[in-house]
Amino acid sequence: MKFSKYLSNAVPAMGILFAIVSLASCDIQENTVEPQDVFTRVYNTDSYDDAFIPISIAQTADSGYLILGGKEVTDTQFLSAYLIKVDSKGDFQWERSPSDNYVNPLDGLMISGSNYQFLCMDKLNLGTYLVQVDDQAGTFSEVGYLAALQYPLAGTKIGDGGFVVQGYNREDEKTVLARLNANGVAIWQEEYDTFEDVEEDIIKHMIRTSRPLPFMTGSVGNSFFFNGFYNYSFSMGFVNAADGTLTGVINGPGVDDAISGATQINGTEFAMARYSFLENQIIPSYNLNVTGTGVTGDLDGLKFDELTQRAKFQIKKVNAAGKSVIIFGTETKTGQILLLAYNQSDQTLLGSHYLGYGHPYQMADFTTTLDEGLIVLASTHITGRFPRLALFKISKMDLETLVGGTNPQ
Amino acid sequence: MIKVRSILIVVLIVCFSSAAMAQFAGKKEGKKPRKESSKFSLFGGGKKNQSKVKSGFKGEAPQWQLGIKGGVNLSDVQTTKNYQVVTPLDLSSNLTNGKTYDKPYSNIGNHIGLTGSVAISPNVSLGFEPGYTTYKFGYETSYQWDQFEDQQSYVNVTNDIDHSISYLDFPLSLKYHLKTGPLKPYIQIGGYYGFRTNADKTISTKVEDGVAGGLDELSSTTQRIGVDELFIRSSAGILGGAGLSLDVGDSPSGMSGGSDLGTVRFVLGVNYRYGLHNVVDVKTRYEDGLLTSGSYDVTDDLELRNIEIYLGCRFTLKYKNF
Repeated sequence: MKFSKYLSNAVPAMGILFAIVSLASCDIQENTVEPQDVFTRVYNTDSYDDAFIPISIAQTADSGYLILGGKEVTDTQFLSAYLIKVDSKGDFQWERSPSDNYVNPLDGLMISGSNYQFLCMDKLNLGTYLVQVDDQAGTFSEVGYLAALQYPLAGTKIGDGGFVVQGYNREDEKTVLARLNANGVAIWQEEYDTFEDVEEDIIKHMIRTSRPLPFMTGSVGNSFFFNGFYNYSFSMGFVNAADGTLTGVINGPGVDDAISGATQINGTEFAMARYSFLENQIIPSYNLNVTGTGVTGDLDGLKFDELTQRAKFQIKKVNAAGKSVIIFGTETKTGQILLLAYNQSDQTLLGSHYLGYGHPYQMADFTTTLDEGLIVLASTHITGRFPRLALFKISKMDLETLVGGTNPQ
Repeated sequence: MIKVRSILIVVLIVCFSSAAMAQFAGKKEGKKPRKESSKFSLFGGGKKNQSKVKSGFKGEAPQWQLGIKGGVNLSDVQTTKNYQVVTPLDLSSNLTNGKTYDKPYSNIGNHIGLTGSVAISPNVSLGFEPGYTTYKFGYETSYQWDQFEDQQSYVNVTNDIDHSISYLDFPLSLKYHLKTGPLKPYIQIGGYYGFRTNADKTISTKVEDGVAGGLDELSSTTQRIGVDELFIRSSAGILGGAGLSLDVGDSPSGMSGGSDLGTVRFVLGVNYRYGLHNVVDVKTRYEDGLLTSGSYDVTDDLELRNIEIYLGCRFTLKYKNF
């Protein structure tokens, strides 16, 4: 009798206690995140002399990441092409330097079927290689080599599986644009007058003794564009995709004022960035006139004082939280990476996100991931000294926060 | 999830056990008239000239007690999953860039709080000891870069990272006294639940740069960072321990006249606390750039372990004839 009475008194108290502990300990049950959802990595060696420069990143079919970069070597001032593969959690899998001849790899790891391709320069003859990577086997194959396309500066894969590549003819002092087929064979190659010798600027850009220049190529409708040296200035030129005939240009007053980023949104509508001496501007929407003549000063955008001089930009169109968003990835004077998200439809700022602290971090590339997050490739100087690759994985939840949350239905 | 259930089951077992033991004790020692069984007394004021009753004997004995307790914590952490920011590019390298944790139970924290006890029988009591508890643990990370050809070209960076996490703790335990008399050894088991109130990291960084011209430290910095968000609010676990209690003074009905304070019970004991879950907030592990990007520090998944050594005293609020 006594026990049952005791129990009858104790049970409500225990129930209350049980409920309180259950409610209070919700955070224990909810404390789960997969290791691949979010991480920060700095890839390191213990060598005093090693220097790695990140260039581009792509997510592979196994949810890992293939990173294209450059590595300093002793027999040339150019960066040797260098790749590493990490798994979905950022754990290192392999590293390769495919060939001593492959130097100065260009921005952009391009998907080709189940493989990846990149463009780079020949160390001695300065021609252009198209190299294919099998990320699973860690092997490489040379798809094509164009000896006539020297000093490759920028390249993009186009809709037909081919490429549009910018180079420089040092003998004629001309910017070169070439359209290649999927096998790396030139369909046409055209040259555009620079009217001055810019080889020194190009070499400084390649060996990084000056701030890198924003060389770019791309396509817009039936035209291609290049961002490079033209007509005594650093300009964006538009050419006919069929034969390379120049159809329009946005002239810059020199290397101190240029378009520093451009990504197609719709048709001729582009999201762009520009620097002008000490200023950096973001232009969330701009309609390019591929047949007209303009000046970079026409691109009047949003001025960002916190960005470093001649800030590098990566601009990507992203779908997140049910929105079409333009994300500008750039770098600040304080050595942080800044991601800015703009609504594609009305160009309003949705949010911002900083990465890195304490040591300098600079933007290299970013891309969306299979789990609807974002992976950001950056360069850093570990302990403020040695150049290394850094990787920031942003979770789906954080990306949704960056773009201002989900739209109310 | 399983561990959370475990702590709840422990709480239930403690409660049910106390009820069962009370029943067992009641049968063994016989029931006492209820009218004699209770009376409140704190700091004296009890009945005089009644038959002498010592603790452990049939008769009036402390039932409800309340007091204070405090002591030291010797903490350790069990890593259940390791994380790192600095990742070696050579899989065969000795360069692991991992953490070297401090020796187990080498960091001293502290705790202070109330101690309450409800006697269920002469040998069994239920203890509730809410208090403020601080756990401390730490580890070291070190990185080295050197040049094979040049002995002077090297850089060593060592980070000494200490943690201090404080909780408002609510332990519940079942205590069994192994013998009767004023000096009684006891054993206890139970569980606890804590609310995190504060968490700090202190990072001391030492840099040696051979190129700077010598072996002296080039720089040494210490920074203390609030990391409340790095740890989840809850901490739950089980505990077990042993100790000695000493009853001083008689009950108010004692023949010797008793003390004005009634029976005061001093306790000296040791508990081992075993955390049942990861206390690190996995959602915010990489959120603080100062830690991850600046000091290359990311916190592992950790379960708390703790040896607490305590001293306390309890005053009797209520007596009962067992």
